[in-house]
Amino acid sequence: MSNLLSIQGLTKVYSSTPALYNVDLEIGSGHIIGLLGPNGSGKTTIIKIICGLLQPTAGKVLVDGHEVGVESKKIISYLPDHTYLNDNMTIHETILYFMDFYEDFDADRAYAMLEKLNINPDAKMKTLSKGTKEKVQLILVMSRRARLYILDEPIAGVDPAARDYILNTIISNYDPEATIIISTHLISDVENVLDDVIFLQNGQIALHSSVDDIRQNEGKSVDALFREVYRCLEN
Amino acid sequence: MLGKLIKHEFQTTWRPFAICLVSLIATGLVGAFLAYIYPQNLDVPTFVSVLLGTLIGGYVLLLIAISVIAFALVVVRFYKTMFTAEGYLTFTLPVTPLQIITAKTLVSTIWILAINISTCISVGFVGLGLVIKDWDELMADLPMIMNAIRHGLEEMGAYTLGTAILFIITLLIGVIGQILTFYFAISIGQLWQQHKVLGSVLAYIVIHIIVNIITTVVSVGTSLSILAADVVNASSMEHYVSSTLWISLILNIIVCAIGYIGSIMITNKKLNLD
Repeated sequence: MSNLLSIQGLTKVYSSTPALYNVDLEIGSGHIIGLLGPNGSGKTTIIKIICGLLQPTAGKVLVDGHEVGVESKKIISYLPDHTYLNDNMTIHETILYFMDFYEDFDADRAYAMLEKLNINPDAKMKTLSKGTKEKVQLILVMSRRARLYILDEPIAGVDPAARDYILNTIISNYDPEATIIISTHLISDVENVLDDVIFLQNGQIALHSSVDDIRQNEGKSVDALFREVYRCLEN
Repeated sequence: MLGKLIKHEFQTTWRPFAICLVSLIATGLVGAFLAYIYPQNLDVPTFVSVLLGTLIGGYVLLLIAISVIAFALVVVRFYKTMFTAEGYLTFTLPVTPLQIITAKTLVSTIWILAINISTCISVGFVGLGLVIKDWDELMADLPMIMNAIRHGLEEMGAYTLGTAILFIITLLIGVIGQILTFYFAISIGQLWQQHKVLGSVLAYIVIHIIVNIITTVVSVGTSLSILAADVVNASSMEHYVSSTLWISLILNIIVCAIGYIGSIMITNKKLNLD
């Protein structure tokens, strides 16, 4: 099986502090993967390098065989961990923007999700509450028929009801051929939707396993294992 | 994709620039009307003169302010869409940094040129308001005035079509050079780990000083070579004007090339969004 995402020897150093160190990772198609770790473990750094927002100090990233660039960006749908859309644009204008640049963008899907949430497409982004903005961003990102979705902390900072909606949106729009990487430290909330998990600690991969294997072999939930692993590493 | 970037760049920038353009034309028309009704041949009360002086001062300040605002809009737009949260969208679009910088440079150049042309039109309106009362007299004197201007330009060696075209191209490249200098300085500022805005300002100051030193050295060299000539006539003046324009053009092209390539290289190879 050719890997959708291949990372070799990835290192990122800020000043003299390594945020990632010699990370190797292979991810295939058709998985929902939890990129888990405490704050500062390197989750956002690795995501930003895959998306082309950060330059690695060393190492290589291939997305469907392409180095990070135009071809990789065509197949990655990325949700950052903060609002990033132009506040002066309406939702409708933002949808037109996405339609223009992403061939895989499904506008009907976006409008259907907006209608379901009673969000007015003519509203300007700056008039929306933080939670609604995050939902709009998620709708835009999940309305692409991408090969690789990368969602950075999609449920952080929203109320539990919104978390349910967001996770439901992710699952219901999931193409079985695509892969979703969800970065979060709220493990118990996402555990049920994950196929695999990657534990990051101090810029290195501490564990890469399927959720089923963890449950079978360890006899515990991912959340419980996470707490155990990080307690061990801290000691 | 370049066409789409240009289209969206226009869509998201047209409002503030349109306000600037309308303000320029509107104040030009108001100025023309005031100039037209101003009683030139009569003694006017002092307060009218003071009022007129204030209005002229305000008008000049407005022209300067709009020119500054236009560049500020260009700079803020570039910084915001490239190196703040909006950069996350800009740099995850399936486009190259070359396409992004090209689209922004092209659209900014068009807006700045539009502002410059509108400023000329605005001033032209005011001038027209001043002379329109004496239109017939002006028309009668026009050939003489044109001849005087032409003669003056010929004396300076500047009255050729080639020189005029060279002058316009130099102005155009100068505008592009100014924009790309800002872009390059902002891109350099992003290489700093912290205080990126301060880094951008310092980078701009350093670039500006370097360009000014080189321009001054080259200009003084050219002037001295002309002064060293035995005879200063129309031919040597034409040579001087032409040389000055060419040197200015070449320097501006170099500034454009460094700014363009430098900005693309930094965003391509050194992008580090916080």
